Amino acid sequence: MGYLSRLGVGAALWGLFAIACEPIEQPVSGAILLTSEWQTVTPPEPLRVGKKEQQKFCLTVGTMRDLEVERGVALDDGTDQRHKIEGEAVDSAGTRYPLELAEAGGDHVCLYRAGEPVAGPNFPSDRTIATLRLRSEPPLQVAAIRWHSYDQH
Amino acid sequence: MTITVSDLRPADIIVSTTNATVSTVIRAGSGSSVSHSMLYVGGSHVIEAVEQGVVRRPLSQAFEGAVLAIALRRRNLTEKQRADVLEHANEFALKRLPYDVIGAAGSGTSIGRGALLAGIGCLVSLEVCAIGALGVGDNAKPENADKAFFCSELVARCFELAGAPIVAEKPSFTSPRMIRTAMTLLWIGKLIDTPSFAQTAINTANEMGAGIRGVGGP
Repeated sequence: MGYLSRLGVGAALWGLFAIACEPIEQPVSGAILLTSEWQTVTPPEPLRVGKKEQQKFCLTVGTMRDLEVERGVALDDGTDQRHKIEGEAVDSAGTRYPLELAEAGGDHVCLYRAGEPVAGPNFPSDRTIATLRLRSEPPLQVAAIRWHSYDQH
Repeated sequence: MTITVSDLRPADIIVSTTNATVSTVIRAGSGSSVSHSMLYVGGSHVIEAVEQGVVRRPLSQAFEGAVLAIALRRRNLTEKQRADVLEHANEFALKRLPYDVIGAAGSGTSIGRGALLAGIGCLVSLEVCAIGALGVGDNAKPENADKAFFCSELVARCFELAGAPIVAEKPSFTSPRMIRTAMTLLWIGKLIDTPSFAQTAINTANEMGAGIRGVGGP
């Protein structure tokens, strides 16, 4: 087999692997101030679930002093406040899904669908997520929100 | 032996895999039954290197989609070393450290099957060869040690910094398979073992041949 043929086979295999493993990542919102009032965020495009195993909304919040987000987000801002974030996703059929804060690392925290994870996608894969509802007590400035739908390795 | 989270101690290591394509490719490439590793930090939480970087999250989320999860414990770990492992993991998670994609591609290439696969990759495709070469080059640089992590690199590095290394390889060349078969680790038990995961038995048998030993082994 010539080198060009091998190159083609390699590129095709790599492409198939990349397509199969490619996570879905979409912007949800830019900077937003979360307050104690519920706010509805509508992403620029509906959020795709696909057939991926895990989904989460990740909020860029800045440097944290600890990662125990189950007690609230603790920013490294000289205060001892803990921001309690509540969230809810609403799909294209209008079904609401409570979210819970369950991940922290670097400058971000992530909200997952509340409750024990289910087998397969945590939202119906034939629907999209149309809106995200959020609130925080005390108020919290968020730099950006992104949606991730992906398979874990 | 199946165990529960209550059997875990902080600084235990968990290796796992899923049925997703990415896991299958990693397992095939490394010849292992596992494709991921994470560090248990107590309170049903783990710290792990995932695509969004080094994060802390509940075991329930970390295990989503997992078909096999095995708990391992560093032999002869002192309480000081245990505390140091946890402190380093927490420190890395608090920093904004990205996932080491290139490094992950180069992990395991310094030994046996990894080197063989890298060689085949170079014969098959320039792209695969280039990615592998970048990975090896990237992992070999000492200055890259704590700038980005892939899963098993993070675990190995935390133990190395605590003065209780788990493998002879540098953390940046450590694969989940190397952790799974490390002689420095004691087998605690399986947290998840899906019977339909047929390949597990074959690969576990292979790994037993590679030398894993422990109390209550598979």
